[in-house]
Amino acid sequence: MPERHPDHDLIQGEWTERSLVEKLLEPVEKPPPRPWKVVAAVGFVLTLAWLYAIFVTFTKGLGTWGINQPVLWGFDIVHFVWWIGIGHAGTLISAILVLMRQNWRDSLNRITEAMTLFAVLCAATYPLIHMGRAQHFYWILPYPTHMALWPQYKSPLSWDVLAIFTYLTISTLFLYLGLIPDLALLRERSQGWRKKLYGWLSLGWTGSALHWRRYRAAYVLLAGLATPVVISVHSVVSMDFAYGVVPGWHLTLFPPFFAAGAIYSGFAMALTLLIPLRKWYRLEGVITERHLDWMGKVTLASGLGVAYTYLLEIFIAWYSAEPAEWAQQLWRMTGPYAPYYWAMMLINVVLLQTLWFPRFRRNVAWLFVFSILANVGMWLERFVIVVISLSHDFLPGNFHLYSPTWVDWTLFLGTLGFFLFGLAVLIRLFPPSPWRRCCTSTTSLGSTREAPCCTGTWPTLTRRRSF
Amino acid sequence: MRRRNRWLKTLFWGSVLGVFLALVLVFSGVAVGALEQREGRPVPQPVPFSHAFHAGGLGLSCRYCHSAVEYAPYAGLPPTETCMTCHLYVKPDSPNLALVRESWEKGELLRWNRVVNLPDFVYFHHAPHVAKGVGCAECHGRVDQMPVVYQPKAFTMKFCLDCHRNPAPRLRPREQVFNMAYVPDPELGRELLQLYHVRPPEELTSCNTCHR
Amino acid sequence: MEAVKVLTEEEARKAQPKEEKRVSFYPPWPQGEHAWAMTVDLARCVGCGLCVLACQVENNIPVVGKEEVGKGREMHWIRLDRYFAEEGVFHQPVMCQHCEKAPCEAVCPVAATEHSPEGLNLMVYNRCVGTKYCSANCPYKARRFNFFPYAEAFIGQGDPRRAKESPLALLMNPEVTVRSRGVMEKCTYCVQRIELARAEAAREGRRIRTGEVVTACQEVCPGQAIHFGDLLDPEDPIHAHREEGRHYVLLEEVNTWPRTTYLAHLKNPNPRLRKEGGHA
Repeated sequence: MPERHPDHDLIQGEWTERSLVEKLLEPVEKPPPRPWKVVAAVGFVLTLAWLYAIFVTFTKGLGTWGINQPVLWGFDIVHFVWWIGIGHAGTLISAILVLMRQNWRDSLNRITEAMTLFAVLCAATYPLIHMGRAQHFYWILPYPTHMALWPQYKSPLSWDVLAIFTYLTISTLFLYLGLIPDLALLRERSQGWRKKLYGWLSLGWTGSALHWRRYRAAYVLLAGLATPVVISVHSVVSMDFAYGVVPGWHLTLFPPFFAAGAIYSGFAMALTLLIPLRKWYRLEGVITERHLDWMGKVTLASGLGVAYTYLLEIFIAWYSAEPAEWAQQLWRMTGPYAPYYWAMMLINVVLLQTLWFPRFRRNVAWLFVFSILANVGMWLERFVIVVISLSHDFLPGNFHLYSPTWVDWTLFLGTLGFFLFGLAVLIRLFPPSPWRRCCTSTTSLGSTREAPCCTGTWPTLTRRRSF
Repeated sequence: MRRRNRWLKTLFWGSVLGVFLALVLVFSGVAVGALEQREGRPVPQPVPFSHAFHAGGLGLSCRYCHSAVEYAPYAGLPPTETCMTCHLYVKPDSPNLALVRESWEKGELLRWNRVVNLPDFVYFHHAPHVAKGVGCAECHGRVDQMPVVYQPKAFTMKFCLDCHRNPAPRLRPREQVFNMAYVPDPELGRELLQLYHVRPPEELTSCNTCHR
Repeated sequence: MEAVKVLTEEEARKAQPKEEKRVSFYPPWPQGEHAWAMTVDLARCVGCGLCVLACQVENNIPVVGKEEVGKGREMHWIRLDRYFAEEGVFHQPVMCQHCEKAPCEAVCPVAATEHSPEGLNLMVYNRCVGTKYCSANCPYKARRFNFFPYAEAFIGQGDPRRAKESPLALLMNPEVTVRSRGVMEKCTYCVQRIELARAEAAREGRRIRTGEVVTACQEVCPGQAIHFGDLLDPEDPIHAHREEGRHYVLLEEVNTWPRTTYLAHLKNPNPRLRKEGGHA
């Protein structure tokens, strides 16, 4: 009788090593289910539309967008922040949950890391295309020039460049590192050009004890390096606003506010992706309802941080006795954009509270609906912060509303399309969950667990050795 | 070790080295320096006018032709009349001067080719430079030794900033501004900073000095 | 927060110029030979708009058309804000205030907007990459962005690439750069006039004289409401303006320390008019 899978307490169903591996490699080795084809096709078409919208922006100018005086940052920055926020779930699951020895992250980390990678890629396009003279984008990078000029480092946009690049590098590395054992397995099981491709990508992985030891060291090290990134990247992005004098932006609580919001929206998007995925690929045994429950709890926790900040913002605007700040808050609540503000409050403050109750949090259908609503709610929050604050600042003569054009919408839907298309391609190439689970997860509740696939457990790793 | 792994090791360390070299290349300023040392090519002109002969050999003053240099942003090019002040009598039938004579007789402009053409967003004014003791040769080189004029140093922003950040070693007394053979004296330059009221580097490198 | 202040005659006589509370963590900027500043006397401003026109002519400001203005993309560097109060309509010309603690300077990632040692907030068009952060951060919203190649397209009759060939280029002031698409622009205190005056002075071996630099808006104002001068020049009338009781700073609470300051509007209504219930 083949041995039960060592992770039998986390995954559901009767699995052995072999049966689990076969299941996880199905998305790669078997033809894709119909929903995949629909998603990939829609994503591809939207990506083409996105490229066209970028082409129009570059050739005709930023006037094709809906930005105006004073709302010079519109959908471009709203979506930039939205996408960067979404990426944070992947890094948190990849990094922080490893260091906290939360083994349940193993089912989720592949999809969320892929989500992070494409979210950051989508986000990174916005600072590039929103520049009036994007052909000189490299002037923001620090390198010696014939102008004997350097970038201005006091600007949060300079910090953004470093933050986004770091984030992109770390996310890619994490995804890749996690993939290596899977790639080696696929190498063994495939032929022809696929074998060559997986062979190159797997970097000569043999699965030996030495490789596993090094792998775990590298993984934990990368997790340690990536942990500050979870907090710092979105804090730096929030400084784009906190650094400004615009009423509604000039708050020191922006960095923690944005960090909480990022985790909240990231987990929401992760839920939006994982729930259909587990249904279409019949992975309910691997991505179980307990996993979704845990994710729901993290969503609730971070969402409460966001909700608290909304209320605090209102209080601070009143308490500060700054006429412009309080006028901004009132305008948000009662002005022409009030429906957006109240929708945001409804979703992120009121509907969030349903996650307290297991009846809702464990209901997969409600979790899916809420995750979509949460993403919309966070979109609305960025809209409130970026657009509504800018349209109503100090002098009444400057107040002006914002209305996006078709280019703005196409750019947004296009990034969504690129995101979905990229994920679809990735699902087809790499398994949705790492198969060698025991060797990345460490121990549960302090007990060491000897697993057949790897030698050396956490205590071994912490003993001083030269690698 | 297995051949594949040796391959992979070479590839890996090779790329690490490659990235390191690329960073060194960019951040050492090699890419910057190359631009500055680039000498301009001699610019061919419709009439083979030799500065080496006229300014160097004959000793004609720069201002005889480039007369606006003391009061205008541009140095100016001479009207054909200036050429004809001599060439009506000196070598009046030379084939080299055919175009000059044609311009004089028809009243049409002589179209010289520009050697120095700054971009439109750079506003250079010759007058304050001449007034404060910056010699012609400082920027334009030894024109009195050039049979065909070329620009010795590319006019990048760095070129201008190098002087604006430290003008003293490049200043000369006003009387020597048009003397191309003069070599500036840094000691004297420091005194001239005070004498000619040359502003300190923070003010000289303020963006509005050249960009409006 | 009062953008436009209105004082009656007694209030104006009794008022003392408010001590500007200047608190900052940061050291002051290096000070050059001059400290340019401007005062706008709202009592003299009639809202005619000639300053707007003069600025446009002097600085090659493009005409963007009705549709673009409707979207909120007018390009005038100086604008006339109108405030409707019970005392009447008040006009306030607002242009770049050349703040000493400019929020725009700190946020430009490529250092396209810098502080000059003479107090100007400089805009370097050729360095601007168009991130638009500076304008988002300006509390006065004095900055203008070229959403389309407005000026270039105008000179090239719709095609920016033909701008150089067109005789319409003669319309432009050669001392001021024509801005391309994607570049931010704003009031420069007519820096081209300042630099030309400086070149003249250098040529003649003297300092810039009092009143030698006159900005375009100052030049055409029929009420002589705008005054541009040098704070380091003891003979400049600007000192008298700044010591008046009517003197105030626009959006003082934002702590930007602007060099452009205002003199409050003076209202001296006939008491009989008020009794009859009409507008003063």
